[in-house]
Amino acid sequence: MRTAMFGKTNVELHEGDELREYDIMNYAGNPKLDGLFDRVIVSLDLSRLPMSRVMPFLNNIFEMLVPMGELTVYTPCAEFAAKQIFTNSPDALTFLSLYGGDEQPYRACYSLLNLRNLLERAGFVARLANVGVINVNMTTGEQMQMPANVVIAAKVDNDKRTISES
Amino acid sequence: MASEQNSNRKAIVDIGVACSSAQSFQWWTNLVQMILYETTLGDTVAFNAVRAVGSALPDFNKNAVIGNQVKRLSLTDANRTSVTKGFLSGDADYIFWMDDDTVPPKTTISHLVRSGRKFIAGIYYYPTLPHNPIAYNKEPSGLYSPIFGYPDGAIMKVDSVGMGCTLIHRSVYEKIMEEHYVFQRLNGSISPIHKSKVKSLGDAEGEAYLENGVWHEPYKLIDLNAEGEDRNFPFYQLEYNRTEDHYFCELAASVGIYPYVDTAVTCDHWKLKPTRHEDYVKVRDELEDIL
Repeated sequence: MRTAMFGKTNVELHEGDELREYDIMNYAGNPKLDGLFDRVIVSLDLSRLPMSRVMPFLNNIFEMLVPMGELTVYTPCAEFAAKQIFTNSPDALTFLSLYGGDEQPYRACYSLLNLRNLLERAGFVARLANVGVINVNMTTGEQMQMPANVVIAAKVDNDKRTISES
Repeated sequence: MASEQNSNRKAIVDIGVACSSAQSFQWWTNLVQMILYETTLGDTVAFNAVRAVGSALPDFNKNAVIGNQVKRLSLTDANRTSVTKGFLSGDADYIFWMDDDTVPPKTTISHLVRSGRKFIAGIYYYPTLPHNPIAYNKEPSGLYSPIFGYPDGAIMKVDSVGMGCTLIHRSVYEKIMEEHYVFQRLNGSISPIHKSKVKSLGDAEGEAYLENGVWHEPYKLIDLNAEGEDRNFPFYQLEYNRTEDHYFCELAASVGIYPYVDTAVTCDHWKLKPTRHEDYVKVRDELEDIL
């Protein structure tokens, strides 16, 4: 299985699997040069992209996947951050969710529904969408669990109908 | 990976309505509009039949089963079982269950088919306060709790869903039948037991009794395909003061299939007035001290 990864996360790899890591800010995927991937994982990095580059990026990922390949996207959870602000109880995780860090500032914060809509606009079919947590290292050195939206979406051939066993 | 069973034809869908006798023309109009909309604008689904069974309420006197060509006077579980029998005897890939008081968005069926899930539901809300979503997870106590506070836009696995806006692939029913024996209880009712739970079959007779907290009762194996047998596989049962959809979800879980709920598909749930997503959100936000 060939996997492309943007950002850092734990990926389960088996013998023969290939993992390629990319920087989302300097990415220009070309299927002819890079080959097609079975799986693409975008861990928090979508929030780093300026708005004008989000849809081109997702469209490019769609082209980089094999038919029925899967894209997994994690983003900070806008619902969590908004609720923290609205209830006047923001904390370090709230600001990390909204703005990222000094080295990798964020330009957007997505709700789950918003993230799903973006992927579906790019042609993906959402298979799973939910809120989870992701481990992040704070500037204090402390590791904390940040609420994250996660969507797993498939590149479904429009001419074909598919049924998932899982 | 999402995979397997590709087909370049449209998914064929039956629509099943378990209690339809008292519903007004406005609801039927909406149903027809939904079918027309999906048929004319979508390239995902084609419709085979609407299988609607009348309510058991005797004063309505309209217990016609449309599509199955029989008449019944039964409760919701028997109605659903009857509709399921009609569905399984036909050629449709999926059955889309809706109730005569739920109004899904117009492209619900093709949206749920495209999800690739075998068993997936939209969401609707209990008509009375606190307007909880009719989708549940099972607690360690064995009781069900609604997924109150669920994320908007989620596609998530749950333990039980209502049948008011639910798409089920025929393979779910077929797998349940394949992996269960059906027994007749002493009171004449029938009950499926997963084959893995059957230690031995026999001809035990006598009374039922409770011993050391375990209920013992002679169960007689029956063959629902036998000549002269007119009972249907009991996919749905109202028992223990629970609705029949919990029973079906537990049967599906026993063969390893759990329902998913797509919370982006929100339905109106009509009584004298509709209960909608915003009614639920208002209660949710009040409970979370946001309002």
